[in-house]
Amino acid sequence: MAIVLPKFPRSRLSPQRRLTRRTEPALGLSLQSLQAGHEPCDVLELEYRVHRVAPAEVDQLEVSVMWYTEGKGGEDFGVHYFQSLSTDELRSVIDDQPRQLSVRLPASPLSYEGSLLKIRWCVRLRLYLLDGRKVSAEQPFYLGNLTVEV
Amino acid sequence: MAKWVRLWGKKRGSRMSGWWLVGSVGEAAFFGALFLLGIVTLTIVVSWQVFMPESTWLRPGFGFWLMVTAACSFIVIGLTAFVLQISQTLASPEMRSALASRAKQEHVRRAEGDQASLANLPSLQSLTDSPGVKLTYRLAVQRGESTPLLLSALFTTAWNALVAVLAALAFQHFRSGDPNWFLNVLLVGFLVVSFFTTRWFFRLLRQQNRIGPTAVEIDALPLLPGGVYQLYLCQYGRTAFRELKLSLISFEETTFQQGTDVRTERREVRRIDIEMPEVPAKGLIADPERPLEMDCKLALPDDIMHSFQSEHNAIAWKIVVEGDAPKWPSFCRSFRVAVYPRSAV
Repeated sequence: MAIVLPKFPRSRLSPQRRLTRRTEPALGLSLQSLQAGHEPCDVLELEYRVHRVAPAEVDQLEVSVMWYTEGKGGEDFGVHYFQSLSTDELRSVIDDQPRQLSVRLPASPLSYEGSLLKIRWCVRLRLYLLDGRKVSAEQPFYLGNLTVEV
Repeated sequence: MAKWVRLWGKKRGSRMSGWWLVGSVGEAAFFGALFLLGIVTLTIVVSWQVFMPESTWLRPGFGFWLMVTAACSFIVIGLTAFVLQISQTLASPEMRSALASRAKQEHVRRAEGDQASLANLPSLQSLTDSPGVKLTYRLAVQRGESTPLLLSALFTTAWNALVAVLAALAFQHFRSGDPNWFLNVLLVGFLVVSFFTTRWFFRLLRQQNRIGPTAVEIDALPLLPGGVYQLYLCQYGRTAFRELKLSLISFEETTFQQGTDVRTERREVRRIDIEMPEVPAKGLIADPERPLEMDCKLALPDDIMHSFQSEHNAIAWKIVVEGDAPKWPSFCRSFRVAVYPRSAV
């Protein structure tokens, strides 16, 4: 068994840098189901929240349920569900209450682990701030019950 | 907000450091300036001719049309790239994809009525448009077998035409009493190559005609995991086969860019043997009066991946007929099918 200790920076951060770190926005995203895999046409339930940012600083928040390919070929992706939250809707997300969402999953494409290509599903959050910064978070999940390694 | 706006960014894994908006705005400004340059140039060149027809500067001719062409290309390139850049800056890739797929779904709904979303699954229309004689559908053979024959025909024709010209020249020299020995030796070498290419062409032609076409019919489409299907194979021609085998094969196909080339790689990932009937006592013989007919059974496992197609990647399923006949090289013919997930039907 290996004991892994956290690595701390040798030098202390400057006060300004510490302030920047503290105010970096954070996205919380979790799936409600305890299972790693979801059947096609099931309902995917998830919740998300935004921390450490004032509503006035946020421009837009996008939620998407999507698939993308990985592997030797060019990357393809398809968006199954997409929502862009307006400023009023954003206020409730930025408050402490997490926002819940239910999405009915499609019949295809199923998650796939091949030799030249892989098909992955994920929920992706993108937060756009008014100062031009972008923060994103991703939660992968498995659609279907194919064998992991073909 | 950052104190200093970083003009340059670094790629750190899947994200870029720096202010992403600066690059996009800079690129949009460049193409916007190119568009304006094109407009101004075209306006000056055309208005000069309209308002000062007596001027000798930029008279209609090569220089005038060159300026007009360059200005038009600046306008087209600048405007297209400017609009693309603005749309990419204002909308994330997910938003653009969602808008595009919504528009596509709406178009399909209007054209075909409400249907379950079957995006990224191959269409059945091209597979089911040909009814079979014995079973429901007759599968279309994938083209590609006739390519070597076509290439050999082209090469043989071109080579023999070259040999004919050289032979005519050599004959002319010979008749005039001044034979060109270098040309004669060259002609002998060319004749040898001509003999082999002509033989290659006729061998391919004979093989094509001798083995004859292959027809495969199936009782249902699309194929579903766990399903059992009837297949009918009919082999025409005049051949006795040592072996004839049918398989359902899955291929992964990816298209990628390597330098300036676009390459496609294909790899077989799964092979399912199709159950064949017992070989008749007289053997696997096809003749023009009685083609070789076989009824086969295809049983699909539950855990197979469905067909998939996107811009750069695909998973394709094919029924492949492989045969081995004495005196002939082995042949292989493939017929595309579609496997859908159970939940999609």
